[in-house]
Amino acid sequence: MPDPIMESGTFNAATETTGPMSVADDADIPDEAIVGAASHLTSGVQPGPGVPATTAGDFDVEARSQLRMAMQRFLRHRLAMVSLGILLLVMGASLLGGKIAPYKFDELTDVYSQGPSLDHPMGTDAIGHDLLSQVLRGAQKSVQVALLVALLATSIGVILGGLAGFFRGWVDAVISRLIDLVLTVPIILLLLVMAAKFKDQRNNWLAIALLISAVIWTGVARVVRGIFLSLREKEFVEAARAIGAPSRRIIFRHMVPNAIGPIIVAATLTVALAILLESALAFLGLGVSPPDTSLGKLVAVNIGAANTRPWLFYFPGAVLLVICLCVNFVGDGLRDAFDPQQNRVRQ
Amino acid sequence: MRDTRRNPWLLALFVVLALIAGACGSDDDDDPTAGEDTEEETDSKDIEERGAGGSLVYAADQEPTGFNGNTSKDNGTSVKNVIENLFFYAVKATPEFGLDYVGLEGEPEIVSEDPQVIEWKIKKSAAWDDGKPVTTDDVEYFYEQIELKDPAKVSEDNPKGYVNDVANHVGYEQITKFEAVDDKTFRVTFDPVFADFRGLWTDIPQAAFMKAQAGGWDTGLDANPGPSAGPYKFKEWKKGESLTLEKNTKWWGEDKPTLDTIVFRFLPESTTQPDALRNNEVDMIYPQPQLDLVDQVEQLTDVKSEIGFGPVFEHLTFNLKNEFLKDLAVRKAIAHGVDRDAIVNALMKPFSDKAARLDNRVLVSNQEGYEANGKEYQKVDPAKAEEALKAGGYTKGADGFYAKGGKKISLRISTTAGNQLREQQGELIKAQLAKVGIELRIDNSPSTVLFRDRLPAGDFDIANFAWVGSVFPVGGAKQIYETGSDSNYGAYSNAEFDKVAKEGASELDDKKQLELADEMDKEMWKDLPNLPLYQKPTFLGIRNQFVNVGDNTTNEGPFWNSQVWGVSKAAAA
Amino acid sequence: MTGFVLRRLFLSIPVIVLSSFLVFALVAASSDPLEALRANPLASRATIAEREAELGLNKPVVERYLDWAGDVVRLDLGRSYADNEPVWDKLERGFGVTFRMVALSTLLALMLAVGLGVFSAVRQYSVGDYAGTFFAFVFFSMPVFWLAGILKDLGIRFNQALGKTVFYTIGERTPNLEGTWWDVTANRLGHLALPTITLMLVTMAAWSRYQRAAMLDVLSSDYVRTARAKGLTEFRVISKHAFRNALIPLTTVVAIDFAGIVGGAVITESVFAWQGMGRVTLGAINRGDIPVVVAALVIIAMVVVVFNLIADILYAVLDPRIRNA
Repeated sequence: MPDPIMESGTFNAATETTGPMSVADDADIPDEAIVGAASHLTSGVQPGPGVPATTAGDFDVEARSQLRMAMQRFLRHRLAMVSLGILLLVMGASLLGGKIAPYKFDELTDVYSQGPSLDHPMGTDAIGHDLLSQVLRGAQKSVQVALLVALLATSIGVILGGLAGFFRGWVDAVISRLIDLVLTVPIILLLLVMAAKFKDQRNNWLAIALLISAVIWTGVARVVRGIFLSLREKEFVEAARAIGAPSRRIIFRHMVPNAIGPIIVAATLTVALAILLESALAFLGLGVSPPDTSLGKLVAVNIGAANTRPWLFYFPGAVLLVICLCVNFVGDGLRDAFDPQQNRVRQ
Repeated sequence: MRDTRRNPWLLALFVVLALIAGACGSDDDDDPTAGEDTEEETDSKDIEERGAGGSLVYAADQEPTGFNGNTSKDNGTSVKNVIENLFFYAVKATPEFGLDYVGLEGEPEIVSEDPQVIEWKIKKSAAWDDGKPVTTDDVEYFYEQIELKDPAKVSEDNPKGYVNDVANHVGYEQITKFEAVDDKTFRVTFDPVFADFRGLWTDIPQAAFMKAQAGGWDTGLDANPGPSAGPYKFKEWKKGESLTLEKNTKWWGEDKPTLDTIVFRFLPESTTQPDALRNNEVDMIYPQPQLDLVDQVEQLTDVKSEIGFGPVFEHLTFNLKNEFLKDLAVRKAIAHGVDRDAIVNALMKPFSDKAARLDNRVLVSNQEGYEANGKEYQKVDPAKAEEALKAGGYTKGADGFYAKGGKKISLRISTTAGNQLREQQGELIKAQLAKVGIELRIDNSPSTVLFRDRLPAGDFDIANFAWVGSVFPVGGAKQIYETGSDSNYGAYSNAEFDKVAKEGASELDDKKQLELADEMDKEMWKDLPNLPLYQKPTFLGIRNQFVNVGDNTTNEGPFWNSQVWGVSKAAAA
Repeated sequence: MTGFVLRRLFLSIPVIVLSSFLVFALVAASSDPLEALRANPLASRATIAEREAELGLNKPVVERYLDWAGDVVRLDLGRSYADNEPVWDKLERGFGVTFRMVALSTLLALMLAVGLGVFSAVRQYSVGDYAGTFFAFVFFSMPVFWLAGILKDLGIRFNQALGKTVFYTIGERTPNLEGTWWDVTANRLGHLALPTITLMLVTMAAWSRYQRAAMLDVLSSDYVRTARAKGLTEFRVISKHAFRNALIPLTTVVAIDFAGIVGGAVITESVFAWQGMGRVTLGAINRGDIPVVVAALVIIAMVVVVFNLIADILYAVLDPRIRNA
């Protein structure tokens, strides 16, 4: 019996672009694609206990043990663990922000446009902001935006994608059209059009996070829909249905746990995507309002400083890069962990 | 964002808009110039010798929208910079804020003061490149189109029933009679008196060409400006990419153009400009100066750059309807507490040693008649600021901020969001005033929201933006500060000021007018309806091989003398 | 197959219509085409009122949309509010510009991604795999404008070291350039290089991960094991059996992404001042130029639909399991 977790669409989770199955309007093709993709996974080494999951109860046990095994694999993934460590460090530092920063983020020192020094490890900007303190604050805001986006976009994506994949029929048709609708408009341009309304708000990081969530939930939705389309055909789901379990219970007790791997992976990658989108918006003039700042805004406003005040150009950019890079490595490690097939190619 | 205006007088007003723009850019300046008539003959005197030929590529920060700069659609610097080389100008402002009657036989003559009748004589040699002379007909048609009315068009919004899209009627609407004396001479009668008449008759396209266009005044010049009466003529416009002008071999002026072409390369993202200059892709840039941009250009060995100071100045407008700001003591404390020199040092000095505090809100420092008024506020003085507050009955609370009757002084400071310089300015001012016990909260909006909604509605406490001074300062200042004026956002009202302003606006003698201008400013230093900060710099970068290219910080902009541009003898060889 | 294609195209019509309406309503609600005019104190109320009536700004959104849609059905996209130029002319230009840039970078990115992906899979956990993976992720994790800024600087330094301009940083050609065919071509390529490399690096990163995953997947499949068991050389197994099948998923991803890049190249276009689709649309959004924004987004939407369709067809054609089903 195929390990349901492994089936979850190797490709879908790979990027937030789309797996073939998720774009199709036509339910036939996606199903076949998923079945097809899954078919050659079946011969893979079974990492699980191999207990046939014929009943819902058994399956929960299995799903949980799968999760534990995935975690164990993840813990052995060195690059991912190192990345996670760095990430936790950076996030911890940014969350502590105000406490560990040498200056307050909006404090003006009388040292203008000076390169790195002991007092100001990352230098200062034109009006005397300590760049390190600003970067810490910026990272905090960026992470704040990104986590909120990951939470919202993943929730919307899981719910809508799950509904579409589980119920098929007109529910699927409506949700798929909705996804298509969002996908037909370039994300950045759609954000700009929508953001025009919010650009003058104070504390607009919240608005920025909501807007980004509103356009990028489709990636998760497509992944989840693909997985559900295939899961619903599985014996354990049929069994659950046969014993009269309500849809809600089937979805949340049986299907979601089996799809949890790709969902976590997609959510992780969404964090990196959100940070980058936020910086793109800042570059196009829709950053968080001052005196607050974000990493994206720091990078964007100093884009002309590469040759003249390089510290302003490179430090925020490098920190942003490190954060996104670590998030992506963690996501990659999670993917490997949830999909062990990928690790056992050759002897 | 389209900016603003150029017509002299009024100018001042408009302000704003332009400047703002932060992200989109740009432009700024505009506006006129000056009141004095020093008649500087800039041409031909000290121009450097030029070699033959050459092509100059200018990084234009916006693509023109058409060529009739007198319509509201085309009334921006992007259009102005092109037509400055093509159309007929009776007068241009000189870099010294004087007037140069380039298209006239001499200064317009005051035939009569009451009623006000003025006579203009177009230069005999002035001609279009299709061979026709520039005549009174061209000017008259231009005037007629601006003032064309149709009773059927009268409505609440259009009480006079204007037919055409005209950006600015100031001056023209005072004309009661236009009389062609001969082909080259015309007399105009004004009522009421129009003191700034010397700045009239600029940006005039050929009448015969415009009449032949189906789109007429509004859209007839959208694709092609028609015949040229300037040193260059229109060659080609590749939309989205570039616009090319070529030498007008029939140019009637004294100095003949030598450059073969001037190419306007459209580069709205100002951060791309220094790189394009460094990589030899453009030869000349004229962006809003910014620290990194200026440093980057100054690092280039084959480019010379120039910082100028135009009529645009940053200031703080106080909303006199605010419960705290209506109290002169608070305004005094702010004027003492804001360290204008520190702002200049932080934001302007890094790229220009000449940057300085501005102590006059009617005249700018390079204008004749400028005086550094407001002596007591020139140096920051936190002690005096606190004294003023105490004298006003405010007491310092435990949190370090002053309060009266239990209410802490807490004010919003608003500027154009997205303009990094302004945003930084706001933070500096907030920090400075915190030291004297006044709390500020930053509350910025995008330029359009600020100028269209918030300022007119009085939805601000302290607003930081720019006004544009003028070659004709009195008219401008009157529009901004007169009781009840639309752009008097802070609701300032002072009968004495109104009286002086009115007197100034009808004073035909320009020297006397300047004295009145100064008096207007002194009056305002007593009331502090606003606080001038500094004059905004302009920045011109030009490759070394080109000669005679220099900025004109009045509304004319850098193309004012393009007829004398050229490549140096050495480069041509 | 024809029936499938027609059905898909037919089904996408309501999506595009709805999308155009939403975009229209969003732009109409969020921006004011007369913003600049209103903020210009010299513009009279008469002028503003007239422009409003002319553009129909005082009518309800639905009515404005229907007016617009009516014209579109008659193949008239209208004129730009900003400069009165026919919308079609503007977009045709922008589309061509973007297409050239995206097509070349997609091609290069595809080749690199396949090479890197296959290599990483075959030599999984080798130093090469780690290095390739690492760089792919680095490019994938940078703001595009930051990467573009660095590349631009490198390009200019290269020119300065060489004493002649090889890489250009603005636009797609030097205006008014005269010269031989070779000069003109070299000039175009010099303009294409930096933006193309930027886009290429960014897209290549994600695709190489895709390719690596697909290749790993295929390498562990039964038929590859069978091929090995038959005693085929490793090279033959990989090139003949694994490689081709591993291309299938990427092909579809590329087809879909291509459409996304056409609309998403706005930042690259801004940094390198290419007057492409994205930058034209961006400018129009900033000015509230509704006819241009809506037409541009509808065209991009159609491109997305068509390429998604192509992706599905490719998938069906390439994958024997589906082809034969």
